[in-house]
Amino acid sequence: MYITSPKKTTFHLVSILISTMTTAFASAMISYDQDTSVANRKKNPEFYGYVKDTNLERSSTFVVMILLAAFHNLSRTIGTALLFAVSGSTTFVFLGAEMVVYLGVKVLMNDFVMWIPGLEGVLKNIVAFIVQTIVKVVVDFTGER
Amino acid sequence: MSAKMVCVLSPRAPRSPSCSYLGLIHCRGPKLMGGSLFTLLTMYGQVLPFVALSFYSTSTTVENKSNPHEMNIVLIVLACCWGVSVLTFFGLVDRDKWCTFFWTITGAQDTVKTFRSSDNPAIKMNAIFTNHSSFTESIKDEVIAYMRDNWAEWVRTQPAWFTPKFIASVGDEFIPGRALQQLNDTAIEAGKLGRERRKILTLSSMKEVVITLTTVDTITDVYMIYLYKVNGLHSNANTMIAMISINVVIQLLTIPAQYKKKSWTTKLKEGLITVLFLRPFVDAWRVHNQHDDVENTLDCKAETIVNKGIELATESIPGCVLQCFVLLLDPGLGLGAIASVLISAFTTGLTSAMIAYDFDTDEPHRQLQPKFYGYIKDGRRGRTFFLMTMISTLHNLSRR
Repeated sequence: MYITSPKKTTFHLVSILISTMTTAFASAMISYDQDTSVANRKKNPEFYGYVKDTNLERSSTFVVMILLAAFHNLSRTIGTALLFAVSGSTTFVFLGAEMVVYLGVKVLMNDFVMWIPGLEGVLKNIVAFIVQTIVKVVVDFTGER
Repeated sequence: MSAKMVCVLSPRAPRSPSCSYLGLIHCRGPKLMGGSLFTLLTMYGQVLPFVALSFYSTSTTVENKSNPHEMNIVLIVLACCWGVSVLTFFGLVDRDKWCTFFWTITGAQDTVKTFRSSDNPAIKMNAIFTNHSSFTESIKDEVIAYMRDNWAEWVRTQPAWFTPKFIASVGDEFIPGRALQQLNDTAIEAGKLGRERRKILTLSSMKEVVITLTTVDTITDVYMIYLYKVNGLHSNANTMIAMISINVVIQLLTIPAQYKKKSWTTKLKEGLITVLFLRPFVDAWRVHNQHDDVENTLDCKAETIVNKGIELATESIPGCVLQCFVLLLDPGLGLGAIASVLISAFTTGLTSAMIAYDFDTDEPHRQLQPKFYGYIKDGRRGRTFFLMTMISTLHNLSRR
């Protein structure tokens, strides 16, 4: 809306920035919480634990995580908005192609099926498709680590 | 400030239980996106705006176009800030974890690795039985051998993780023969058919859920309300709203009778389910899981039928008649209105066929009144159900 609006007000910009910062904060909080969870670090020490343990290191890492997510979100949002401004079909082709490539790579890596136990048959693939799509959208717009 | 905020903003603060439940996802994990794909996608996210800008600046169809040069500067600044943040981030975090942002390990490979590298039986078993069976198919023999060597010890010492829920998640082939026999015998003594097992979910095992969900035509009703409002047919829209409201109110009135032995919180919860239009979904799920509670007046199947009956009588049938009536008076409403009528007729037919089918194929009913129930033959259930649905749908349409 901001890109195509004839009247570009400061209020528009402030609203976009607030949305970006809240998304970034939520994303960084999720990443931080998961990484510093004692249970997670015990269960999978090789994966969890990138946030170091002193007060200063933790706080500064958290702030950088927010900034990283905010810049990532802004870039990606502006990119999508520019595509939308050109046309809806261009956007659809771009985002659709991205999704197809992503899912294709997952299938080729033999990594499409989700971990959820007890799912079999077509349902297994339907659930995998839904979860993989959600994961990609979340990563695309937040850079959730 | 909420507990959640305190936890985040003061990293040394004690972690409340709610804090542990905040982070549900960690997308670069091998079981979600994987490190290498994650990094590639975030880098692509920085390239996309420049590609989009080139489309935007060359496009002739865009109105009120922003200055592409200024946009380019904004994008370069953003990309630089992102780059600096990435470098700072990698400078701050533990160097040993850098590899997790670039590894190509898949969910299955990670599960196998966890099983093989850990000495802790809880972690080993968690890796095998809380993941999809296809992840560990390649090491199945290894797992069986490990469990054969340790099962007796776990039965004797009863570690905290060796719970009935865990045992139910273990397939028969992983339990040593004698222990499996013992589990089955104990279950049979308790009046069950065999030991408790985790249910395998497939589309056909969830047919009740799928069929019930297709009977939900609330979405088309809401669409019709919108269509009537847009076309100035306010009284018809209000009639539609009244029908939906009557359905909800009557379903709410059944709650005190159905849950009369339950606490007011349960009644409130059930009321909320109805008000939020989640009743068909919850009912279908309960029937699928055979969620029967002796304190409830009706079992879950009967409750579903009652609720579907109320919906048929107060919303689906009158709503469909109204839609036909309005469509005949104002054919200009378009294809959406016709589609809505057809969907409503079909869902009404499906619901009534489902109720009739459920009653007829119910074993207790057949045993109690064998002369009345049992017209659906056992080998032709699918075909009969389809025909019943079509008869009901066409009858419903003609009647209107």
